[in-house]
Amino acid sequence: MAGRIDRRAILPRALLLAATCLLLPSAAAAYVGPGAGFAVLSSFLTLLLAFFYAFIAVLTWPVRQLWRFLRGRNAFRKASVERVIIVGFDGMDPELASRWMRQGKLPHLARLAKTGTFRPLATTHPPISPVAWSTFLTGVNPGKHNIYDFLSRDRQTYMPFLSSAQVLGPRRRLGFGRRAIPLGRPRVKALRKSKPFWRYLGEAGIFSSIIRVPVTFPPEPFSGVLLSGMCVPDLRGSQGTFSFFSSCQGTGGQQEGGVLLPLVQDGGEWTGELPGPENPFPEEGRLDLTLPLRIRPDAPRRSASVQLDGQRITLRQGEYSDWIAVRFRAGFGISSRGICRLYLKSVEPHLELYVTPVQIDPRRPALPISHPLAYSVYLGKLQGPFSTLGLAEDTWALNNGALDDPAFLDQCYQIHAERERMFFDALEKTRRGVCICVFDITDRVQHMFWRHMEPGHPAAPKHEPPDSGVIEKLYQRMDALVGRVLDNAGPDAIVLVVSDHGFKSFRRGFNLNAWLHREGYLSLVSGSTVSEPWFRHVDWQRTRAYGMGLNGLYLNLAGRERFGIVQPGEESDALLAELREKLRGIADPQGGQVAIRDVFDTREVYQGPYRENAPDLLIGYASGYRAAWESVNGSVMGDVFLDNTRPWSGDHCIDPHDVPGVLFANRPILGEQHSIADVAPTILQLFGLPVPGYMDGKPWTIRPEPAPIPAGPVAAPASRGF
Amino acid sequence: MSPINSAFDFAFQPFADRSPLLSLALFAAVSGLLLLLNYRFISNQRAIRRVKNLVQAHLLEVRLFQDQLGVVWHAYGKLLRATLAYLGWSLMPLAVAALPITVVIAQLDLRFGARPLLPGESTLLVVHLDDSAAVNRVALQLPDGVVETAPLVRIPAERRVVARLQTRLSGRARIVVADGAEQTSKEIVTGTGLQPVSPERIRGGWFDRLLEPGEGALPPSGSITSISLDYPGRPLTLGPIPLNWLVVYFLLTLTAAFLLKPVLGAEF
Repeated sequence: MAGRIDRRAILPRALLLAATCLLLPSAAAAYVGPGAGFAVLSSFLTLLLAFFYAFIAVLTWPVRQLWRFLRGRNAFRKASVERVIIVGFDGMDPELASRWMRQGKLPHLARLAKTGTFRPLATTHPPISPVAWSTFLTGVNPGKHNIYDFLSRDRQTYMPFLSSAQVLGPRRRLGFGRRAIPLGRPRVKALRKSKPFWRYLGEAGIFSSIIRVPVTFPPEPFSGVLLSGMCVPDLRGSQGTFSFFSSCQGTGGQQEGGVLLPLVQDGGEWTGELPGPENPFPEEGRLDLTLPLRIRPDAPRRSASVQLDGQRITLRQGEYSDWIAVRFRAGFGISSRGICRLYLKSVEPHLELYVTPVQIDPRRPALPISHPLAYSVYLGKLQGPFSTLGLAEDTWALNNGALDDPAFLDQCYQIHAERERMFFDALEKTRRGVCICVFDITDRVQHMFWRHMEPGHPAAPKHEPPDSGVIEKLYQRMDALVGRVLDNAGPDAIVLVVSDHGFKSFRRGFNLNAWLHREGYLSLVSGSTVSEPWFRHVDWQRTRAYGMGLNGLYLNLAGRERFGIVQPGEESDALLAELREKLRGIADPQGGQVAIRDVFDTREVYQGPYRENAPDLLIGYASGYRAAWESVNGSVMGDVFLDNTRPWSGDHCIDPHDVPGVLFANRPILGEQHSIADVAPTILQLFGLPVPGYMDGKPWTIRPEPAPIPAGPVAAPASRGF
Repeated sequence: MSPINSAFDFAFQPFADRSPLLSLALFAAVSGLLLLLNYRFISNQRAIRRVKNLVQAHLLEVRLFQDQLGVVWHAYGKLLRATLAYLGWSLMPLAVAALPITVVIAQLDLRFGARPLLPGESTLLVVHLDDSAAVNRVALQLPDGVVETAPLVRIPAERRVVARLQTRLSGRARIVVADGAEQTSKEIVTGTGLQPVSPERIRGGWFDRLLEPGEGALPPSGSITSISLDYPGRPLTLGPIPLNWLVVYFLLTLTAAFLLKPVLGAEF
């Protein structure tokens, strides 16, 4: 009786499924049918895959060891340390750290200062994160790694572009009528030059885990795992574009870092459209792909129910949603997947909903954001979706009023919690080698909350009492994090805590382009008295110098810029000298303070093959000053000196001598002068690898053991000069 | 006839003269849908999603950190834990589905497990008894169109009686089996098409009847414990490949469920 089964055995065996199917999954499935089959099949495949991997790993382990041995890659043979852990706190300021250590508020950092090292860490020219972290990871000055600011300029069009990476379309497209269907994924071209030190380690067989170090996008292959940080774009290809929906009449338009969108009433609900990535078929209609959004407010409960991409999310006022996976469909089976969070800002009198930039989903990355590609998938599966955007903390949303202070702070700490989880997971995985994680929260919170700490700041809160303890609490949180890292590290690992720069107040803006215009170096087309962003009304035929970015000043050099009029050589030298002379020591008419401490000629501060891409001069603002908002984007308008009234109230894009970073270590490091460029050669030396001659940094001498803990309260030594 | 039998007879009526593979595929698709709905609404979907992600994460962990044996072995431990957790979360929908699936499989087995006899085809009828003395009392009363092609074989040691029969009728008829004064019967089905056939009639209560739903239970008072009729198997083939109906049903159910999974947003 072929094909018949013993039916009397079905139920009893079905009830024994859980145990049976583990051992004999196929037999169990046959008896209990497809219901259990779902579970069994998945579990069985999982176990099969796992044991296949295990088999391969165990089988090939001796072969791999032998291969390493034969190639002389006994990785740790000359190493003086087995593990180095680097905790990066973007923007941690030595002066603030010192103050709160003395007050006993940062016990773990103070302990490092007492038994190991605490020094200011010289930063780069200019002291901007992408520049400084690029130097950190390559050990070279910007003339060799080619990163001078967040933005660089196109010499042909005078338009800006992201200095670290360029996202290009797919290599091939398939013509289909009037449409061109992209074949493959977009490509990403790295613009940062030179070689990160972890590639040298990898070549020597030393494993590294690199988490969110800035300017690591696109990720480069090496022996280890890496999750890209600053400069990872959102799904729109921007560095972060939030969406802010409002039922208030007249809402709409583009803002810096975001877009304001109107909500349209539809019965008891409100509808809008969430903008997504660029439409690959723009000729068919809209430039961007969108997703419909439907909100049903519940005013008495101060909540709303949001329907987005087939999901219904209920939010209370002042509450963030979890990460929501969304999919923008372009047709022809082409779609882009991303993640975003919603924040219900208010229900009444106007319904207001903030949506984070739609970010690359780490579980299904639209662009490679990790090495190997599977690493972001692993992290996404392990801890759930997480923020992948380079500049994840949405400072623009706070700057433009889409978020308020508590909502922004909440967002920062949510993102920070994600980073902590992945960092401690990396620590667990990296028992030998190098483990690095850079935390951005220190930078973002200091940028946005400095006004709370400084009475009289033009941007100080006017309607509510300032929360002067935000930054102090932030430092305490970071101190606690360091404590947990030290516990994890044990006595043998070397732990370094570094920051790329410090922080100062940003009270007044210096409008460089307005000054250049006033002084006759920059001209506008006839009939214009101001210029819109990106030099729209600048007359290049009569312009000799222009400012772009946070510290850069460029000559309009003949033979370099498309419409250059300044002849290289004597004329350009004379003009540079003249500009330096006029700008250095320039005083603010309001109070008479010096606004620009120094002006640096990049021929003097940079060496390397990419120096020609650098600005010609770097403005070294004095503490309290920075480039005005009106100037950094190539606008020419307004007064030369302006109050900074935006929440972005602390900054570091000033004279680098005024904003060194921090260097803490759990070992004494000899010497007095330490630079961020020294980190890379120091790591190579610790692992017994030769330091390449092109590196500008010098390896530190690190004592093998911590100093004994002196008796008495732990506090930072006062002799640091803070 | 039980209501369950009636319901399945009604459901199979349109497929009586159609390809068994087609009808099986349709039933598998419906089963896949119902099982998926069962998972969707009975199980803790969030927990299943979470634990599946963990399983995948630990698999990736093994691949990403393959040079570090300590990490790899640790990952295996976590993988095993996550897999067990996954099975744990699957138990509830499984428990809910177990009984209905048992009924469905028993009913499908009536139709796909064997085919009716063809006119002129021979078969064996076996009467099982609980008393060896009763072996000699057993007598058959055959309906018109069914003949004995050999004398009854009585095997007291095995407490059974075997008859070789040939059918020339078309349709359903009953063979009366007498144990002295007590009589019972067994259905014999001759014909073509997708008809339910009951290879065995047994004693027992409702549960046994659930599993052997083709005919009512034998009376508990007599000596006869079961009567079986040897129907030929129903061959399902995919081209030259012979297939077991249960395997086909299982695979098609899973396929349907996988295809419908994104539509229903169910996780399993």
